[in-house]
Amino acid sequence: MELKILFRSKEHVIDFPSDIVKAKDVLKHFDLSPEYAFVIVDGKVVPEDENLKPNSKIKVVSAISGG
Amino acid sequence: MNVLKRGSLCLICKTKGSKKEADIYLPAHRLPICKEHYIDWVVKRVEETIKEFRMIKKSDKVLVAVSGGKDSLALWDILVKLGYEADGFYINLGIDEYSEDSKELAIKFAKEINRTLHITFLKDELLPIPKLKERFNKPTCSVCGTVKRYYMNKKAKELGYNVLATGHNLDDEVAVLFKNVLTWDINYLSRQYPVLEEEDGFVRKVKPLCRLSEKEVALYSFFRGIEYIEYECPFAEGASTIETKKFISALEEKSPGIKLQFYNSFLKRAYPLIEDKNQKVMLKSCKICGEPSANDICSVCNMKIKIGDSIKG
Repeated sequence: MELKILFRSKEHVIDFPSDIVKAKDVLKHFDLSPEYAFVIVDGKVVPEDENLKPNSKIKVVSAISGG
Repeated sequence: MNVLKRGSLCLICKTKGSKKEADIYLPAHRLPICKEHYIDWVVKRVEETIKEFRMIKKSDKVLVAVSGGKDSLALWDILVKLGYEADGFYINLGIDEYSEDSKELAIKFAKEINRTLHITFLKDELLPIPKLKERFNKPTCSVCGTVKRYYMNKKAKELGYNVLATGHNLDDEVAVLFKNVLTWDINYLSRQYPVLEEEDGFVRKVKPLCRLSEKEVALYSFFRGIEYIEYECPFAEGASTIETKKFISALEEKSPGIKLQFYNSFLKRAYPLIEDKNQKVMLKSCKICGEPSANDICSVCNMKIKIGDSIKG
């Protein structure tokens, strides 16, 4: 399943091998942990086991920062 | 449970006799909570931290060090919500697009909350960060830190503020604490406290977000609709702090609450034993700018001299 995901102000188009993609799979794709990152779908923070749909507006937020 | 289960109810709503679905789950606090109560929860937590460490009085004039990131904007938002006299101070570091974007977001937010944002351009004072990086053979984040601390303190005094508030969160504090514990650097550890009193030409410095995790602050900013700079400073990419944070985060995932416990226990048990072990350097006033300095000429004025020489030479 192909998903369009906004991450760090850039849009990423990712083709996932499975047709069932959960929020936690998206975090995993970006090598992020739910301990410091979360997924927003259509303006709402979703649980990690939420199934994502291709036409949804998906955004990933990673809270970790350095420097 | 470590994650939000579908259909979980907000625990705060529940104690108030109503039923509402939780929007998020906070593993460290075992708390499923709705958006509205989460915002109140964060504000209250900051209020308690400010009171416990006697960080700010209502009569204080507070300058918030604003970077345009989630932490500093959330901090500013919370302080204003709590009724403090808090304005912002933004240093444009001259890091191309990153600085331009973050400056615009800081200006936009200041307008939204109707508070003053003071802006200083590093290129007018010294040199922009990319040029300083070229000129001085030191890690960029370290030069940037020195410069930011210098101008924050100097401008706070010049502008008539007596408290400088920074958006350091729990993860920032735990990462530094962890590194200092690895080397048992007692001198650094003895200064790692969320409030540093005004002394020797320094204004009081406070870190009111020290008990909120990075994710908790990001969630607050999201729920409050605060627009902040979401991408990393190009110089901080790959910074060792991020690796330390990821390492600690892996521990937190297995034992929720361990970060908070590590930090709180340090403040409660270890800090009282070492707080007077700080090898205090007798600070002088810089002969050029008058700012506190360990040497006759402070590090920023030293940079200025070297830059001047290289222009002449």
